[in-house]
Amino acid sequence: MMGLRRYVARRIVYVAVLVLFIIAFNFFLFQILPFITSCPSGNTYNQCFENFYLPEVGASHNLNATLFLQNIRNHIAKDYGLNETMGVRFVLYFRNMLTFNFGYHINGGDGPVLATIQRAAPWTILLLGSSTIASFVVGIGLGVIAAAKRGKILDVSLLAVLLFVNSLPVFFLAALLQVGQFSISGVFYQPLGASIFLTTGLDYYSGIMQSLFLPFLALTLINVGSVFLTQRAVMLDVVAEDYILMARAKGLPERTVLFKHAFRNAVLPIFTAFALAIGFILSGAVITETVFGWPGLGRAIYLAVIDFDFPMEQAMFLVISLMVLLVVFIADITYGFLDPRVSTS
Amino acid sequence: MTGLVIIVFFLLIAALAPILGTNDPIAATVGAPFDVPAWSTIFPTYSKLPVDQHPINSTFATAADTGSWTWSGTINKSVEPIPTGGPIGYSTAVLVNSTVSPTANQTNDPFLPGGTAFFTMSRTFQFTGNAPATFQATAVLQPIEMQNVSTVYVKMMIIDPKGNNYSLSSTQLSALNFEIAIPSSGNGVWKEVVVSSGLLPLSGIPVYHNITNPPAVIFTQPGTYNFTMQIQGVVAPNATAPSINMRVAFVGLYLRGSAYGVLGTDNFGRDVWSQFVWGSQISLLIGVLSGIGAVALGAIVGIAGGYLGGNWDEIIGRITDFFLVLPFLPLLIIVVTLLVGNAALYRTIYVWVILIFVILSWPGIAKIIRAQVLSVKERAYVEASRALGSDTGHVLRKHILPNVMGLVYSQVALNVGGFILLEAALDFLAISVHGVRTITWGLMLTYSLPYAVHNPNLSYVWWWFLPPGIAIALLSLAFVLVGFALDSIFNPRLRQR
Repeated sequence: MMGLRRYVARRIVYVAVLVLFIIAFNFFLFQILPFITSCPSGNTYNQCFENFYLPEVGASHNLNATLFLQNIRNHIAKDYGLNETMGVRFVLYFRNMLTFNFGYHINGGDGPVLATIQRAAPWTILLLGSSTIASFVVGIGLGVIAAAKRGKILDVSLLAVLLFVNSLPVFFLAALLQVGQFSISGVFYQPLGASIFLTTGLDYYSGIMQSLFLPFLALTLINVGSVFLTQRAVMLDVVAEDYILMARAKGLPERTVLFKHAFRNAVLPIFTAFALAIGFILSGAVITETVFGWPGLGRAIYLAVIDFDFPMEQAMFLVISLMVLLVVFIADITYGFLDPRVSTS
Repeated sequence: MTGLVIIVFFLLIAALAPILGTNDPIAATVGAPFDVPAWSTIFPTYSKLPVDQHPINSTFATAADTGSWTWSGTINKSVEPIPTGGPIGYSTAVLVNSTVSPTANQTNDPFLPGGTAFFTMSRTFQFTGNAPATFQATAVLQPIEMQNVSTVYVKMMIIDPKGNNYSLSSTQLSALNFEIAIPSSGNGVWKEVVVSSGLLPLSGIPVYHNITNPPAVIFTQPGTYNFTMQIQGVVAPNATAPSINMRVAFVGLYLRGSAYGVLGTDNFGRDVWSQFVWGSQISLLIGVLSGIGAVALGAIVGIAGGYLGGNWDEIIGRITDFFLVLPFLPLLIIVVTLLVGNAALYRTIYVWVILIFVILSWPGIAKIIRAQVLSVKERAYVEASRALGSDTGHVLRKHILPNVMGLVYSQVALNVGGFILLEAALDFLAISVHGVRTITWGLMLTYSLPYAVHNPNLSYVWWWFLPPGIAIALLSLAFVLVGFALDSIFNPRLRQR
């Protein structure tokens, strides 16, 4: 077990370094943004930065209003350290990020960014979590079956159908589903806000389920194809190995051969894919959520970028990166448990 | 095999786009909005729809053509070639010299108060079937030196079999559309007078205050209709010998039905087939280049990391993980939004888009390939091979690569499709990196989506909505099929079964 413990320790150090890297990269990315977007020459860096990040304070004939807005601007400038040097700003930013103090919305929403994220995250986890699990369960199962019956009708038709659906653009499939729902039931799709408006208890949950169904279906259908494909490819590779031939020659039932011997060895790449998929839960489904009006993080990101809401963008960037990093880390550790060959290398 | 066929089909369409898509996908309005494809009129739902007709299409090139018009007024006319500098596409015109007597009656036409009719040309045509969705009358004219006339207008009319006279020219909107500028001397400027009914926002649309659907009001029954074009001018009270000289190069009347072309029209009446054909170019370009780039980069890094192991693997792994955790879509959206805003980068924007796709996607591929390489590396025969003294190159070539290439090809296949989809998704999110005058499949889907989802009476605009979506899916699928075929070629163990 010594090899495993060292492996885990190395991984932890490595992840910590990467976290710091990510935080720093995030900072520099948003520091550079004002310059990439055509900052007029002649402005100092701070001016560019201010014009980019701070809300407009237009001229107003109401002196009080102007002073008030100017006051706000100064306050924000102080908060973000806009009048300081970059070094000071970086320290401020670092401290903020580590305490999850993401600041306030500039353009898009209202109030603290952290609150928006906390509000939106559960919805995204619900939608993407359920659809990722569903697509993997179905995809792995079908993949194993198809690999076993390679070349036969079942395999070919599964391949054709799943791949075709996998290739459909998400919003296209979403529209098809909505049209389908309308032509079958005569009812338009209701986005989440509408379906849970002023409902409590059982109504609330059934409203969620109603609005969840179509996006869940769309995402699952899209993702099953690639899981199926990967699983099938890897299984085919493994099934051609000699020990499978041996197991069959021994007279073991096909199911044991498939699931006990073949599947175990095929699990590594599929496990990698699954870990990545989970990690991408928070960052994914921007399009799906936007199309269905699902109030999750994907749509929040989209709105933040469209509205140039930088504190939100910055916070989301960090959150997603850290999430993915965490999951990759966990995946790597479990790697070590699953494949004894890896940890001893 | 099937995949190759599909890919070749789309490649051909993309390459031949200039020939196949004869209509300008953005600017040309070829039909009424939401025309169904012409071939779909065989279905009962659509069989009653009016089709396009061109009852009048006169270029005066033949004697029969010129002779079909009935002229009135005091005129001398002759057909002659148009001198150089004329409008493109027309070679002959009727040169008309028309005079009126100074005491001729005024028309008392509200269209041109104080105007006198100089000459008219009219022609009858047969109309059958249902009323068209829209119609359009066009005339291409050139004024030549005129005498003692102050304002010249073109008035177009349609007279239905019952004798009702409908004036297509209207004073309600800018009368400038119908006014011919009088040249100071010699040949004047060619002018195209266009009168259009219906929903299309062209200039000079006559506004019928009490008529909501002009074509339905005018074309109520089959029969013989009369189209008349009259030139009116304002003559000064005591002028001597007022005259108008004019060349008429073209007169046309188009009745646009509700069925057009291979794939119908979109909400502005533009040809969907042309849009489809031109859109294929960009999808293919970005998808293929990004896919190849990303997988090439990912495979190299993955194989290097997996095979070298040890410290190299650590370093490569760290770099890979760093790129991996960068959130894909948000970063993409941010960078693209910035690119679109920066005018200097606009010309090379496709290159940037491909670069960003590659940079953001190679880590995932690298990780998968590395996993496979690790798995292969630890197999007994590799160890045996190394024990026998094979060098790195040999082991790579003979053992590692063959077992990895299959995965590489399937990754290429999957990813090209993914990039085509991603590009369509960017279009849908309205972060399009394309100029105003380009159209892609993603944009087609974006525009048609609102009409498709909520409009059962428009049949969910299936002819506009389905083709791009299905095309994207088919193209992606095709690449995957090709990937499979390659897989079975390069992976000998798969072949045995």
